[in-house]
Amino acid sequence: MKRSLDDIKNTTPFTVPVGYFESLTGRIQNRIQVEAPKHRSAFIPVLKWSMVPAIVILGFVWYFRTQPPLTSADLLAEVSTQEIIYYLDQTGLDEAELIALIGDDADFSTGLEEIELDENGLQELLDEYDLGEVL
Amino acid sequence: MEEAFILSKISNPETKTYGFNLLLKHYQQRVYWHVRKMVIDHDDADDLTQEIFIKIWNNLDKFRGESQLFTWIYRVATNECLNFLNKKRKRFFLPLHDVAEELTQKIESTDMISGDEIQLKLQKALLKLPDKQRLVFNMKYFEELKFEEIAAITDTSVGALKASYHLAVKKIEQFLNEN
Repeated sequence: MKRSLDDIKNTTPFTVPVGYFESLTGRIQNRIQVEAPKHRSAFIPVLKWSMVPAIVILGFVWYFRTQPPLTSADLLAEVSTQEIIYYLDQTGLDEAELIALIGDDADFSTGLEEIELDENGLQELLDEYDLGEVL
Repeated sequence: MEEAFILSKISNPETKTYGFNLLLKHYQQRVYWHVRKMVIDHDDADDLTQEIFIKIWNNLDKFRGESQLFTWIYRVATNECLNFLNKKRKRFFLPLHDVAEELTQKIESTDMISGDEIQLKLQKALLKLPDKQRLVFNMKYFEELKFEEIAAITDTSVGALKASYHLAVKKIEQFLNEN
């Protein structure tokens, strides 16, 4: 038998939950009260995206302006002792050259100058600390 | 309730909200069923119906009365349906038949359906049509709108709509007899 659309009722087979349309009215009314009409300016999206680089640049400016300038002592403090020793080893400078570089103000006294000893006493002290070959 | 009465309330700022509530109660079921037949899924139809009325509310001031209120509301609803289906297609990079397949599966799996077998078969046959042709068929066959009214909603000539409808009927009857 050939089927025709005339044989089919023109009603929709779909259904909705009980009380759906009653709740739909309220939900739409609530959303309308919450959502004010949108009057979007064409300028707003442009402004929004141009704010991103502006904020980044301002952040950099603020950061560098609030940081105090670093002194040579600060810079030196950031370098570890091991790195300094390694550097000095690589430069090949001897002790005298290093002292010359640092300057005359440096205090390299050993403290021995302040000890008043006679020749025998000094020899005993050197023997005790086994420094005879060094001095 | 007459459309003119709703319009008179909407056009007055003091009674605009009251007028919109009248419009909502008068048209919400028609809009929902118009959408539901296109998107099949109840939750999607629910979301879209809400969005349509929010859009109508936000654009009430732009309604100049150049067309009937009913035509304008149907036009907003129709555009939202077509946009929804297009977005679905683009989002998943699906060709036409895959969206139709997805909607067919919804017909088979949803518990919110209560038609006899031939009605379900008709719904599946409708999903074989292009969206716009399905829209025209739904408005003519289920909603029993006049071709002139559909022409005003879709901004298409009556002749083109008649041709589209009769072609849709032929395709559907062919599907029903082959399956």
